[in-house]
Amino acid sequence: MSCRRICRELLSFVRFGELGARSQPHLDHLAGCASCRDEVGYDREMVQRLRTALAARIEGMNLSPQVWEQILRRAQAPDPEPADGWLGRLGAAAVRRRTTTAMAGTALALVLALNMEVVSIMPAVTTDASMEAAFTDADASDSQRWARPSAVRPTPVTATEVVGPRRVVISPPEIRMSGIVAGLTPPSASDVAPDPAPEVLVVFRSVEPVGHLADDDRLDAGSPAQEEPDDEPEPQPAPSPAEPGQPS
Amino acid sequence: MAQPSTESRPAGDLVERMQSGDLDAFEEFFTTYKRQVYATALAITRDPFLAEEILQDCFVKTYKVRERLDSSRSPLPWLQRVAINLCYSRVSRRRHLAEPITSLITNLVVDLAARPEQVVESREVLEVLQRGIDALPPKQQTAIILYYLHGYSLAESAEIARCNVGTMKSRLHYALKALRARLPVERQLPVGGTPATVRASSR
Repeated sequence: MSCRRICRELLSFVRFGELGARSQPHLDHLAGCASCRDEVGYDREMVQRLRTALAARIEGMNLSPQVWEQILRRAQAPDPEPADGWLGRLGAAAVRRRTTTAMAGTALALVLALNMEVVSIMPAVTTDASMEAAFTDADASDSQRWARPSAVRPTPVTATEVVGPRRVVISPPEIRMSGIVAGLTPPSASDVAPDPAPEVLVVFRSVEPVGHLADDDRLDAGSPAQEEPDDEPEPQPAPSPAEPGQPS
Repeated sequence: MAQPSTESRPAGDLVERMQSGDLDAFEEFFTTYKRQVYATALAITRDPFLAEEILQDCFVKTYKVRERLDSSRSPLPWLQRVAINLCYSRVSRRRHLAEPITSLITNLVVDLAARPEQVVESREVLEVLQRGIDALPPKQQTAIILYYLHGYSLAESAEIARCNVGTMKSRLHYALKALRARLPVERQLPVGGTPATVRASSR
């Protein structure tokens, strides 16, 4: 055995208190090797200092007298409710969003990896001539629509016309969905009536995508009569009488 | 320091009484183990306030899960393990902020070590060792605290750290090696010995 190996094993024996009959050859070597004696001596010295350093870390440790009362109070306190409120909802939404993102990413990667073609899975439904005409009038491109215009015709039972300046009033979600499938632009928040009556419905006159509407068409919060024309000059303030001491 | 395996029967009684809802038993349990848990927390964090918080958390958790404690075994290894985990979950958060300052101080100390006339040797070596202990990976740090500070045997330390004895030896070996590497070369002299660099080249 080399001196280095003997020294390494000897250090292990000394460190872990395993000196015994098995370590006799090592001890014999130690008796005649000054280098190994130095090494073992240094190691013991360092361990001694390490013990001192560790003891210094907990030197003068004193617990505050009220620590037991605090522990007792906390131990007897009822367990907090599981996370709810906005924090819990936020966490759940984050988890859902991450899951959705992961699934979408995986699907996209599959599509790209397998060079697949994505096709619409919407059912082929007979078209309606009036619907087709309405969509032909609209000059929106396909990319601005959510679906092909000739997909589904909403049933007359669920849709009636509402009098008003190109206003779209949307009833509950199932009707909204039928409008979307039929090719209508999904309504924005401003198109939704604040308190729709149960029988209130969709106007099919407004088939243009929202992006094509002018701002004044989309917003009907105020009537045109209430708006002031832009070109009307601002009223001049009445000249105040010159104050004494001021040049007029 | 109390050894984990020697006091398991009284500890088992205490645990059983705690499980039956005896708060006096809980207080006795706290009195029995508080010093060891606090010493571990203080040795790792070096912050008395944080160590006390960890002590509180540890015993509150013990009380909450008292039904699941095994009364046939000493709770000390489990308590120490909980305390160690709590320490590292909190210290790791603070280390991100403290690291640049720590490295700055370390560099400064290395410079000071080049001028030994300005510092007292033993104090400096202790400081270097303290920083070396702080810089150790958590598992090695835990190993030296359990083995060299608490004086647990290898088997007991391994039980607390949930590893086998060989792994515990290995962790201690690498911890000592890392600490030794941090000592300035001129400090690596044993009393009356030859420089380590000379010894290494002579072999």
